[in-house]
Amino acid sequence: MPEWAKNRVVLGLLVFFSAVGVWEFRLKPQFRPMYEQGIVLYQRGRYLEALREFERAYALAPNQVEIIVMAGWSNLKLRHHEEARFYFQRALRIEPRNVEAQLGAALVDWQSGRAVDEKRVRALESRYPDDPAVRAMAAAVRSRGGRK
Amino acid sequence: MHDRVLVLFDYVNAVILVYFVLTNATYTLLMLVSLYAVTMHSKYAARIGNQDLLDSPVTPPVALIVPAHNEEEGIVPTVLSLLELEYPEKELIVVDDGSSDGTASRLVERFGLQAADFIYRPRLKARAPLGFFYSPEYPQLLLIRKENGGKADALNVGINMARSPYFFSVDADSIIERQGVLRLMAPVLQSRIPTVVSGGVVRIANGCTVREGKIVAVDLPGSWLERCQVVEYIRTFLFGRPGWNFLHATFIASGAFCLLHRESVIGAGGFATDTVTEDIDVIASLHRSLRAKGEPYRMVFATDPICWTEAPKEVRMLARQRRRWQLGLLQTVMKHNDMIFNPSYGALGMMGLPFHAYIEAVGCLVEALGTVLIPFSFLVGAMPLSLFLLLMFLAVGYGTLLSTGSVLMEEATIRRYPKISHVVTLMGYALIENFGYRQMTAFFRAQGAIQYLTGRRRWETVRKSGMKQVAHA
Repeated sequence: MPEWAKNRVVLGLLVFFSAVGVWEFRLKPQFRPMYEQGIVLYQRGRYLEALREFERAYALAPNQVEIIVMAGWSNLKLRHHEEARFYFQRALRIEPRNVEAQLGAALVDWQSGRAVDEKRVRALESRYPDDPAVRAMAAAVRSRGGRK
Repeated sequence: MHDRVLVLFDYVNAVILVYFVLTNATYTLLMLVSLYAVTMHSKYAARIGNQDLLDSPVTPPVALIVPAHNEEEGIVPTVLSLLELEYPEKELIVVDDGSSDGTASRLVERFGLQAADFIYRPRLKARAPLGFFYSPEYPQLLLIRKENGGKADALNVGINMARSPYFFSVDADSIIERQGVLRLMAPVLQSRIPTVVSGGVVRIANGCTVREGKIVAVDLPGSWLERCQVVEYIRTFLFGRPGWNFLHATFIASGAFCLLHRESVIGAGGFATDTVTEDIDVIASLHRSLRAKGEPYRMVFATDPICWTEAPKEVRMLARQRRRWQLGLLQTVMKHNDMIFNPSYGALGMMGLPFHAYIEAVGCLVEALGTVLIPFSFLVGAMPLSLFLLLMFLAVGYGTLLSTGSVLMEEATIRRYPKISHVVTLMGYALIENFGYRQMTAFFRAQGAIQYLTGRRRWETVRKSGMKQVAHA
C-alpha cells in the first residue's frame, strides 16, 4: 500500500471531497422533476404554475441554462417583462450563443417597447433561416423598425 | 463541454461553501469557549500576587535559552532585558548558532565573558558545542558557541546545558514583560497535574518605544500592514489558543513565548530539525510521548503574560513569514497525521489536530481559490446573487465580526493599549483587514502549501528592521 494511502490528512480530504460530491450529485434535491413538470404546465398554458416549478428548479440549479430560459419564457407569457429580461440576460451571460435566450431577450425588448438589438435579430435570422420563431421575430422587428 | 464546466463550477462552489460553513462553525465554538476561558483567566490572574511567587521557595528555576544567529545588533539589549526579568532563580543560556557576525564578541565584550571548560552531556542529539563562556559578574549568564545547525539544533544544545526543570525559548528579537516569566509560571505552580507547557500572548512591538530592551511606551505602528497584523495577533491569541487550551487540544504554542518542562521535552526527543516550525512540532511530540507513557500532564495558555515581538514591515517579508509558517504547519500535521481522528489523543486527536490539518493547513488553498473563484463565478454569471452574498458573508463578513469581537475582548480583559484612540483605530482595522489583507495572507499561505506539495521545503529568512529604540534618559 503506498504511503499516501495511509496518511490521515489525505484520507480525510478524500472523504471530504467525496462527501461533497455525493451530496451535490446524489443527495441534494434534483431539479429535473420540477423542470419537467414546469414544461408540462407551460405546454398546457398554465404559465404561473409553470413559473413556480421553474423557480423551484432554479433555486436548486441556478446555472442550468434550460431552466433559466424557461423561467424567462414563462415570465414573458405572464407579461412580467423585467423578470423575463433578468432571466434571459442571465442565460446569455452563462451561454452567450444560446439561441432561445437571444430570441427571448430580443422579444422581451420588443414587447416592452425597448429598442431591439436589430443586429442580433438579423444574425439570428441568417443563422436559423428556417426557425419559425426567429422568422416571426424578425418580421415583427422589421415591421416596427425595431423601435416603438 | 460547457455543461461539464458548469457542473464543475457547482461542485467547487459547494466545496468552498462547506469549507466556509465548517470553518465559521468551528470559530464560533472557539469564540464562545475562548470568551469564557479568557474571562475566567483574567479573574484568576487578578488574584495571584506576583510577590508571593517571587518569594515562594517552591517557584522552580527557569532556564532562558536564546538561540542567536547573526544577531549582533540586538543581542546585547535582549540579554540585558532578560537579566532584568523578575524571577527568583534563572539561568540565561545564549547559543550562538554559528554566527558569521559579531554576535559572540559583542556579548564577550559587554559582559566580560571568559572561556570555560564545562561538562556537556548530549542528552539530545545536536551539533557539539565549540566553546563555553561564562561571566564572573553575571553568574547566571552562559554563552555557548557552536556550528550553525538551525534554531532547533541550537535549542537542543541549550536544553542539554540547562540545569533548571523548566526552560524558556526566547527569540533574540522579542521583549518579555518584566513579570512575564513569573506570570507564565503561576498556573504551573497552581496545578495539581504536572504542567509541561505554559504559553502566553505575543503582541506586536512595532510602534512601541523600547529603552534598553524594555517597552516603555505602548503605541500602534504607523503602516496599515503592521496595524492589520496587530489585529490579527489579537484575534489569534484571544480567540484561538485559549479556546483550544480550554478544550485540552493545544497544538500550537508560540515558540517566542512558551515555558516548557525540560525532562518532558527530552523524553519527547527535543526539538526536531525536520520541520521549519520546531515550536509546533515539539508540542505534538510532547502529546505523543506523554500519552505513550500514560503520564498525566497538562498544557496551559495564560492570557496575562505578554511578550512583544517585531512584525514584518514589508509585504515581501510578511509573505516569507507566512509561507514559512504554512510550510511548517503542513510538515508538522503530515508528520503527526496518525494522531488525527485518533481517540487515544483525546480532544487533540478528535478536534484540535483535524482543525489545524484541514482548516488551517490545507484550507488555505480552498480559501485562496474561493477568493478568486467567488467573484469570478458571480461576474461571469455562473453564481446567483443570493449564493454570492452568502459566500461573501461567510468569507469576509464573519471574519470582520470575529476581529471586532477580539479587539473588544482585548479591551475588556488585557487592556495593553492605553488610549481610547488606540481602541478606535484597532476597531477600524478590525473592520477593514478582512478586505484585502486577509486575502493577501491567504495567498501567501497557499504559496507555502504549494511549496510543501512541490517539495521546495526550505527556511525563508525574514529580515526585520529593528524596533524604535530610545536612549536611556
